[in-house]
Amino acid sequence: MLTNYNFFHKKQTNQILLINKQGIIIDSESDLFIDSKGKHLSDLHPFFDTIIPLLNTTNKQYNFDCINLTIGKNTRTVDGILNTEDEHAVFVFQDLTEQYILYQKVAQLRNEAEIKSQLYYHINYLLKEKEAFKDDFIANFTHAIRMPVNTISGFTALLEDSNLEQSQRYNLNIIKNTNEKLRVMINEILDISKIESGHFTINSIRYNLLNEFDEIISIYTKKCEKKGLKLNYKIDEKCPKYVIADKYRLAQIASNLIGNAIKFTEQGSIDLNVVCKTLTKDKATIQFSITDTGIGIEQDQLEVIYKSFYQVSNKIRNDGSGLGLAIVKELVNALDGTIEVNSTLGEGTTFTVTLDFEIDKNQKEDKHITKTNKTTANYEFKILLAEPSKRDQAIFLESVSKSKKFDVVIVETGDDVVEELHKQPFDIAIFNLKLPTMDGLDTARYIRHSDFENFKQIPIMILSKHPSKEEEQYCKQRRINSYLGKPYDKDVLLRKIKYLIKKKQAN
Amino acid sequence: MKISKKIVLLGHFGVGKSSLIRRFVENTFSENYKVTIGVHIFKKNVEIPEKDTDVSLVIWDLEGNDDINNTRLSYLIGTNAFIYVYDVTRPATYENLQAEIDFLKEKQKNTPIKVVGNKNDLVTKAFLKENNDNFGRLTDLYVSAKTGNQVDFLFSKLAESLL
Ligand SMILES: Nc1nc2c(ncn2[C@@H]2O[C@H](COP(=O)(O)OP(=O)(O)O)[C@@H](O)[C@H]2O)c(=O)[nH]1
Ligand SMILES: [Mg+2]
Repeated sequence: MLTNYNFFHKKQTNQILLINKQGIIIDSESDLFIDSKGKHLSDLHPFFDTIIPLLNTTNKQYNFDCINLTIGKNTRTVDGILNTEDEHAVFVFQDLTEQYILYQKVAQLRNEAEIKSQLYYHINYLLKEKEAFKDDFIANFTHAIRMPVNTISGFTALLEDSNLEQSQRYNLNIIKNTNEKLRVMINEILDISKIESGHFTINSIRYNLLNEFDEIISIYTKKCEKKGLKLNYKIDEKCPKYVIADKYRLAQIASNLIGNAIKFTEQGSIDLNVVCKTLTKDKATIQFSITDTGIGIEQDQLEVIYKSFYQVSNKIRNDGSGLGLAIVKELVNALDGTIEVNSTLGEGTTFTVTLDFEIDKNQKEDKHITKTNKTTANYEFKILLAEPSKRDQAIFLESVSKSKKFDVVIVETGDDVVEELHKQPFDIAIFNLKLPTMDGLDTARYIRHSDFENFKQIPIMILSKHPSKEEEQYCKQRRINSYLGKPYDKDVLLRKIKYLIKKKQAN
Repeated sequence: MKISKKIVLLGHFGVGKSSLIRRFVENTFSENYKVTIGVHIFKKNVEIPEKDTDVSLVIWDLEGNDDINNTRLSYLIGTNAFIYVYDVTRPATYENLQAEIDFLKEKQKNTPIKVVGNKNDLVTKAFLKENNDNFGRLTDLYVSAKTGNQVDFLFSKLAESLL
């Protein structure tokens, strides 16, 4: 420190310019401006352009600190004082370049560090923007590609019903299967892009966890049997009965993992083991492990199996996009859980998922709480309408409002239909044929092929803007219960709805 | 004598004041950041064809500050116009935009102030739109010293308006 001061006091000497009112230098004593006598101030440096108007004042003092003056190749940093008098002005200054260089170095470090710390904001923003673009792109692309895929399924189905030779039927089957794989793949891509972009929601509802396990077990026991495998299971008795969690996501995780296990196992068994690791009054940590006796995964591959589009390299052909595990991983993350994998090549693989569940205070049997607690108690039936056009929504509401029996929930996309069905029970689902994201037929197919007993059999009606006999027939073949062209007669609509609900209740 | 106008650039450090001037005066740009201390003064002649004249701009490149109150007031003497620069990618540089502008208005009444958002090469139009309430309303021009976008326009329009 002291050396700095020392330097400061020893080295600097005053330099002086004596200036007349016109800005001409009358006299000078300066290392910086040698031979400046007789010159005009504005010839020295643009800094003095600011000084010139001040020369008209008298008995004033102006301080100018830290002025960088570049003269030729040299830059010097000076502190100066301008004193104006009656006839002259004096500019006295000191060359403090060395001191200011030290100061500059300190400022450089400080500013750089601070700017760096502020950059995260923008980097974050850029990342998000890039992601959003990617997600948008994928969503639009997959959506656009769904149409042609659906068209292929439609015409394949029509062809199937015509008279075909054996070899033609064989070829048609290949087209059909390939197209089905393509469809699954597209849905998975859409799924993962939605999850990754955070465009999916967690819907927690109260449900019976043990029943849910039973359901999963019964579905996959059948699937295992088909392939000559055995499904063993052990469910910890400590597991709570009624939990508040996202039922649909749990099922999605389980079905992906068990489905995967079945896919990669040619003989032996699949073991589902459910253990309640910790249990408090309102929280249970539950661990699910799914062990197969399949081909296993190489150690160096374990790291990458959750990556999108990764498929374990093996000789067994496998369907789908390879997104199943990536979807599981993202879902588990979104639910704040963990997933682990252990595997021995040729012996089998174990996936272990750990998730927290909120335990419902009420562990008593659910006596259709959803029905009796409804605020809409005077409505008898619940309709789920998927209709993107606001105008058509209004027409529909007007048509059913006559009867006062119906409570209508309106959504606009196929994906919302699925979400809504997981949230609450409906008596009938009515879709416009064309819907954003999943169209009406795809949505119907999803429902019919889903593993959820509570809505798998729901009556479905399709509304079509361009009705045709072919379309109607095609829908009926797809287990659509009813088909109605727009514009429709209100009474016909009501009659059909009532008929479908009655028929369902009779079953 | 030729008309000369003093223009002072202010704003936080690192927003690109020196770079804008370098772009305007020398038509170059450097990614390297060298902290300005005190003030550097440049001069450039600008032709104003519309008025059939030219004007000599004396441009003061001030040391950046995160608080405008620390500005050395003697630097502001005789200013004909201010260019207040912020960095569109760093919220810290525009968080107090209104207060900083008010400070200048108070110190130098009736001196025009151009508020510019620099580094627009790093963001999209959509981003600028989203930020209308943060800085958009107060901004006269988005520029980039790096690409040169709108830099000449900024200085020459300002020079023209001072005549
Ligand atoms: N991308 C980009 N970087 C810039 C731009 N202007 C300045 N920079 C960078 O920002 C940093 C600070 O610039 P500088 O002119 O020294 O800022 P000052 O402190 O306001 O004078 C430097 O690293 C420049 O290279 C711009 O328009 N675009
Ligand atoms: Mg600078």
